[in-house]
Amino acid sequence: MTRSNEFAVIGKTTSKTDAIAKVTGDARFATDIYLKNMLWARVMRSTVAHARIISINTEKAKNLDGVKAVLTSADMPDGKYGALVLDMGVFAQDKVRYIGEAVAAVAAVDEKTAARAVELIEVEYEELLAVFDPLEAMQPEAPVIHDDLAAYTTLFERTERAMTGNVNYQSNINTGDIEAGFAAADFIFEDTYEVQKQHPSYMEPNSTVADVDETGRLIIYNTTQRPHINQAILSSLLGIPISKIRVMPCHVGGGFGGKNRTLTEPTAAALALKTRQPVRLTFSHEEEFTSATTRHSGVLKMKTGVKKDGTLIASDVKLYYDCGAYAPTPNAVWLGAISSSGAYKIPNSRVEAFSIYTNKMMGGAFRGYGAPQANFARESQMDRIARELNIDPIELRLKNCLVAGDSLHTGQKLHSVRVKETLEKARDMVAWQSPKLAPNRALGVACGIFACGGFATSSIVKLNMDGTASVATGAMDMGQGLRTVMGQITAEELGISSDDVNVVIGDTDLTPFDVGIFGDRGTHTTGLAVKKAAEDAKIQLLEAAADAMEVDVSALEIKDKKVFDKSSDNRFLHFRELLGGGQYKKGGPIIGKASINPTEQPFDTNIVQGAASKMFSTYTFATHIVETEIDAKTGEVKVIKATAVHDCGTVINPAGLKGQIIGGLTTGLGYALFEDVIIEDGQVKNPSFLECRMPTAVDIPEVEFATVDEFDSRGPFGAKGVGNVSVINMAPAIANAVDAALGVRIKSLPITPGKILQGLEERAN
Amino acid sequence: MKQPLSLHINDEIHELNLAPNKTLLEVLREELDLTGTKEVCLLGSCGACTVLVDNRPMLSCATLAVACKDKKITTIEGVKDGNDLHPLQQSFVEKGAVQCGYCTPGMILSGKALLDENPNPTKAEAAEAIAGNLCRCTGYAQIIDAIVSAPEIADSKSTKTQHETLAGTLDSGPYLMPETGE
Repeated sequence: MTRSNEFAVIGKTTSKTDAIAKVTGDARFATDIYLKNMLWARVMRSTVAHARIISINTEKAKNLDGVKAVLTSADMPDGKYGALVLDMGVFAQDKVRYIGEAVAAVAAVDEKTAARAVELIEVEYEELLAVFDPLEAMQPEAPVIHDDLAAYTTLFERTERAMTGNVNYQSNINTGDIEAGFAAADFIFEDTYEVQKQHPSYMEPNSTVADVDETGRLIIYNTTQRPHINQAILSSLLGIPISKIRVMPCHVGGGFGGKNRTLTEPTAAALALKTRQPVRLTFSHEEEFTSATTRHSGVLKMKTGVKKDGTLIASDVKLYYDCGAYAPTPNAVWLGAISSSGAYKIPNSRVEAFSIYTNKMMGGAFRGYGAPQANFARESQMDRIARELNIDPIELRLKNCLVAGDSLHTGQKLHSVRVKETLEKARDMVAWQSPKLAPNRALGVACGIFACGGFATSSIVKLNMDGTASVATGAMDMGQGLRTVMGQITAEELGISSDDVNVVIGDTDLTPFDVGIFGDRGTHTTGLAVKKAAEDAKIQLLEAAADAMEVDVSALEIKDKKVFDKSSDNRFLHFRELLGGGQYKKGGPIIGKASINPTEQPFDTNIVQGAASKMFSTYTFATHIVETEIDAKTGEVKVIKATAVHDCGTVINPAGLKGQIIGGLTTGLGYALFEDVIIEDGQVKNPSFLECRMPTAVDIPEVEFATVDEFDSRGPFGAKGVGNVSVINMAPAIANAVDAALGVRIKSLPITPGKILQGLEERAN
Repeated sequence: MKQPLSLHINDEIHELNLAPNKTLLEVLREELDLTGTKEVCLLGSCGACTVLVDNRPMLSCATLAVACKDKKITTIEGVKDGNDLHPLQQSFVEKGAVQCGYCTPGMILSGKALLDENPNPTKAEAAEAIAGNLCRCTGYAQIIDAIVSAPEIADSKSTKTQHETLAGTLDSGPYLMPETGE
């Protein structure tokens, strides 16, 4: 059964509205903006991991021919920014805390001159002891990275333990009775897992062109997931009103969370305001790997109590996420805490999740946001439990998985859960018998949960004189297809074709507020605001028609851009007639609008402390099964086939869904097998695609995917998200397949040939 | 010291005056505003700057402009036929092979080089042809699909014009305009 039959536009494959511009090379990205008199900026970066800044001498740089401005923190208002903890300045203030931190910036007539000027800036440091390991950083004797942490502004409810030493944020979950739970368990499993840094590796580097227009307003052309938040941050950092700033994002060359950030904008803006010339700042490829953000690395400790029959009864989890020198998104640990119970009902659960400063490049948002780490631990351990209790891994998962009406360990009651169906369907698709298929060849399974949707957004739908429409949202399309989906939702609600909808996104002068695209909220939450705005416009249109046709609104229906009197097929008005004339008659032009914030319910503070948000709208689920073959001589893992089944609610655009699922699991494959930003003594050792490679076209498995039928009452036309949950299962599924094939359990990512060979050697001894 | 150089790009001759150390990528983007060719790693590792030089895929970040003298250069801007999309471009649109679009120009040129030599490639051959082009969005499957499906689109001669998006579903007939008293 598929509900898409009920819809005219929803569920029908729709080509991306911007695809033609992208295949012809006409689509302009921020890196393609070249303005007249444009200056080029370069950033001078710290070469030491932890030091007090004694002095900065910029005289030689300023005197170099072609240099127009040099800025340090002394030239900036004394502000800091961050998502929950405001801890970072545009430039290092008093101290540097990682190799690659911005200390100063130069604007010059060309990039080479700017780069030469950067080399002329002299900084005198007093080096301090540095700490690079998150567990060491938690020790009382560890060097303190942020001396004034206690004085920092925070945007969450502080608890006493939340900010001490190098811990900048902590969330806790306590549900049921943890002691009684373990006392009632027949078996207790205890494991420690380690996860690495993975770079988002969007193809387009971070880039901003900042300009000052003829009225003195600041104009920002950038690549971002959150234009309206950029605008607010620029306002607070530069001390100018939001009304004097226009953020006009270009096409975004990939984001994946890495561009839910404000990195190049403040520097380019400050230099443009100083020089009154356009300034371009684009990160070099190396800067992307040393001075942007990665998925948080960390250590995860998981202790689980199980009954003989496989029922999970108690769970005690400690998450230590390394957020690096600043904490742009420490709430990754909160999402990790939520996901750490897996998609399972565990009556007695305790989670302590820490975001910890170290002297390394920053941990930030990246597709999956906190969950790939936690799900690697949970789903690896589930497989161990299945093996040791001699229960089929899928049976064990089915026995424990959440169903609608259950509460998550955070106390949130779930209304839309089809993880059981994803497990069953995936099992059927691969004709699952047992994991081991042949020597060195096996299946591995993992399922998972991800928080979906929420936070403030708004939308405006304007009806044009010919019955076409224009919809505006402050959200962004980073390639995932938001533009197309918003067009489909507007079209479905208004009863017109998606070709008839113009979608305006991002530009802060033209669109209403959206908090940014992250956390599977584009389709689910921004889509809901768009649907409600279109509905508002539709109601006004029907009222105008009722007035013109002298009938009650209830007697009317919309079909093919016409409003019909249901009692008579012959009585109708074209949208064109209503809008072309109606615009000037009663009530004036039709504009629909909606403002929503679906994240309104707080968590029960008896269960959850230090939640980074109120309750999420809903949750998405997925099961992935991989078939792998391992070369026992080289330790190389080849994923031959991946089968993915998702509970994403109603599918809006099947082509977009396919792209999200296959793209997500390919990122998960890289995380599982080889991507690893290696840092030694604070220095990134492999800062490029050459040395830190992502999957290529010859690495990918054959993929088969499906969805299960689900209608989420809180989403537009029943839809949920899919972008994040598609990433989180690959690493544990592959680790489980490796164990099934070889009897080698790898508990640290990535699963390299070296670790497999070492495991085989240990097994043999 | 700048030198005169004549480059044959997308069936046009460009007379330029260039420093000899300029890469083809720098010349395309900065001198000629052909920004469809993307700059990412400058290490020859990602394929985003791929162009065709005498019909062979080349990394323009690792190719000096002077080395392209007397050669025929094709960038993404030169792939379409007038206003008609090339069958491969249309195949990318139809198969969902485009997400963020940043790798797309390089992918299309690598794919085109393959199709020009081997008009009916297998999926494995298509994957091999784009193995040097990185993409973080798609997971490659739709791109491979688009390359192997392009010959069908070429055979059906159903390529669209670039401006087809303007068509929409235009409602004919007059608008009811307000009476202005004129």
